[in-house]
Amino acid sequence: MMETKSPQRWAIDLTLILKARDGDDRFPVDVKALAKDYSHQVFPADPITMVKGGDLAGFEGGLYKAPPGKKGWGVIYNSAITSPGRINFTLAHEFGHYLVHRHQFPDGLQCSAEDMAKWDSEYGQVEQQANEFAASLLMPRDDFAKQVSPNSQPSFDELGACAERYGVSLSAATLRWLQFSERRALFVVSTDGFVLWARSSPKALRTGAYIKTANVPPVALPSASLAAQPHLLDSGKGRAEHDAFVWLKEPCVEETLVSERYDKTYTLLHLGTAPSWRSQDNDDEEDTYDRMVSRKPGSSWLG
Amino acid sequence: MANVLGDKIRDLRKEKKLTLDKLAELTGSSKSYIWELENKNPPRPSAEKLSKIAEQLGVTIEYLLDDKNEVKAEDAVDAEFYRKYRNLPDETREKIRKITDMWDDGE
Repeated sequence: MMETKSPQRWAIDLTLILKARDGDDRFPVDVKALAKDYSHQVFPADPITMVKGGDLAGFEGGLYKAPPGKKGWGVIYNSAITSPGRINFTLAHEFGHYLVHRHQFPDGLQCSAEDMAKWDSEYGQVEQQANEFAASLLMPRDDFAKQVSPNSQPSFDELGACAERYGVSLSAATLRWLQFSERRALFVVSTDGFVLWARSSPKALRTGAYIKTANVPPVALPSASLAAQPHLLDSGKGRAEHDAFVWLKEPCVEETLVSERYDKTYTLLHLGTAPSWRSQDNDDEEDTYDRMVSRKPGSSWLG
Repeated sequence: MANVLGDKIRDLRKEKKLTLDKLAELTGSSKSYIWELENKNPPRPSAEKLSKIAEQLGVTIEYLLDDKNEVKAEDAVDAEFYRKYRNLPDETREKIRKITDMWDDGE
């Protein structure tokens, strides 16, 4: 059955179709048109017949079954959200629910930012799959790697250019790069001096470099970090090299950007190659890093 | 739905131009506790601390805790049709219901 395809598989298949049709000129992906056209062609008996925005406070988006007498499915989203990138991601997320989950949830799915953030909740897995689909569809890995090498230590300027190209938020673009980065790096999002959440690249995670924020008391930003000293930033941006024990037990390069609009501070930490005292074989050891555990990104994809 | 209590505290604090440090000092709480209330929606916050926070922010503890959207008998039809439906503000719920009833794909 086609519907048992994985979220990534769906995204790759759709990417191939778009690439054949529009070549390199296909970004940002027009999710609204794609969802309707594709579902009408492939599932003519059960297509997406409505994509509708509204001023819907407290709501992200949802996939709804058409009422009796009408055919197919509808995507309803909050069009009052000021960030177009966030809306684009939400539309792709709901399209993912349609492709992957509509048989499992015949009455539809409704997503709040909080649902998307709660990975241990009942719907955590389902929400994660929809996020994976959206990230892969909007930011195909091959194309992204051409913009920013998996081996580089990009600045927020470079990642911001990608966010623009793909029509997503800076946070979503940074998380996507982190997924396929071949280096050790962390993305830390904070507000008012404490860490909201953090995510490590796979290599950083395997070598014990991560910041745990779930089920622990709030983690304060290190006092010597740029993120904790916004007065040192130039137009809200800055880059600094730190010795060991500023952020982590090892030296790092910190890139920080303050978003006044969202009242959040974004920080990228570029680390060196794995320190010899911590090889990939002993990452089960307890030490101070273990205050930190990588959580899946939640609403982080939207921010 | 979002962290209603946290959003209220944060908005009132910023309105009064208080830093986290200052509000913590005025209420005998730690800075990290106030931050947690604002950002992490901790279960069962201390009533004593909340009442001190309410006092400094010039509101009642009832105002801080009153969340019209949270305590609501689950409507059977809603529960069947929408997941987590009852956590949405009433107004948003109504608007979504209208959109699904009309099912109009025009802009």
